[in-house]
Amino acid sequence: MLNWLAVWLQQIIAVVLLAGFIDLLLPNKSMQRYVRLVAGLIVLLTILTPIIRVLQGDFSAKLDSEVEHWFNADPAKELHMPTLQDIQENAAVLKQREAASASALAEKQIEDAMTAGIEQATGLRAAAVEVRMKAAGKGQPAQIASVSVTLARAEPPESEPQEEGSAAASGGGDNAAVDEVQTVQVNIDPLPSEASPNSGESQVKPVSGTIAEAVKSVLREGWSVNPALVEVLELVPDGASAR
Amino acid sequence: MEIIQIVGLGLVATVLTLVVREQKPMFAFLLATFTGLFIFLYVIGKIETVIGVLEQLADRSGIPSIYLKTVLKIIGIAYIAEFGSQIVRDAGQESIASKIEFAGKILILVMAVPIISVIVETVLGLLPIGS
Repeated sequence: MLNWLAVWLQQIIAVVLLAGFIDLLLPNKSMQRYVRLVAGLIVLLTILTPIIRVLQGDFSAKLDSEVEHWFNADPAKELHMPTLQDIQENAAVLKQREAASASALAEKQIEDAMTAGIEQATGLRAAAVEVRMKAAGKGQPAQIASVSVTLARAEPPESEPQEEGSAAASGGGDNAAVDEVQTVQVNIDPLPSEASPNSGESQVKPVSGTIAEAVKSVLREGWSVNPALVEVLELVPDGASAR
Repeated sequence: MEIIQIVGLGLVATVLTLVVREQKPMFAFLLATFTGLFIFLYVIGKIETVIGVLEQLADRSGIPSIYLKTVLKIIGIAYIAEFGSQIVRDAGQESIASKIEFAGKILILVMAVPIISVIVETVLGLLPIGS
């Protein structure tokens, strides 16, 4: 008991001496108030040591870890103070995201309009229209990079499904009455960029001839899309492609 | 005898500064700055003895080494800030000098944050609400 008291008193004396030393070593008066605050806190902590030890066990390890954590942590990360570079990176990411969502919205609207336009002009039912837009550059509006029109399969009652394309093509009339088709095929996700649409048992095949020309002309007149950028596909049911 | 050397150096530098200031104020400032730097670096080595004594004291009395580290850091910050602000003040930039001193004060207060947090936690632990 007495030993513990002696150690405690020794600590207090040492800390007070230390505080006196730094007061002496200080270069000027203006810092004195601040240094005295810190020195006073240290003295207070030393005096409180027995209480703290009773309440919280060994606190010096905790103090050690806290100090290490406080001084070794990267201040910028610790305080979450964003640097200018961080802010600029965030701005770039946000700008990119905004541009992406704007172009997605534009693509969607153009796709809807094109679907309606194709149906109205040619009577063909477009199952899917995919528009890809690319940014032309800073401050310039985005341009259409490619258009891929997937036509729903028209089923003429008298002819075989496989010859339907050529039959319709040889029919020649843009506004030829084409039957309403039930587009039951669910799988409309083959992308035009994928290998080749007509390889294997894929469910779309490119359409050439008058239908494609008609679609391309509709797109050119309505949206001034370069026909070279337009790809016209047709849905082929599984059974037809297997044959 | 070192104090004589240092004071002699200071006097010579002062006279030279006064002579040069009429013609080239820039060189006068540089001369003063380098004299100050030289004296600072010359004496900073001697302070090692004082620090050694302090460390011994802390060791023997068993106070946590954190306290000594904090105190030494405070002294270092105070000296460096004071030195820098005096150089800047010599060049006539009073406002920048006061900013340097301000930064020094802030950094000294930052040193106190871990200690303050431990004390606050203890006080909160004393209260029945906090526990």
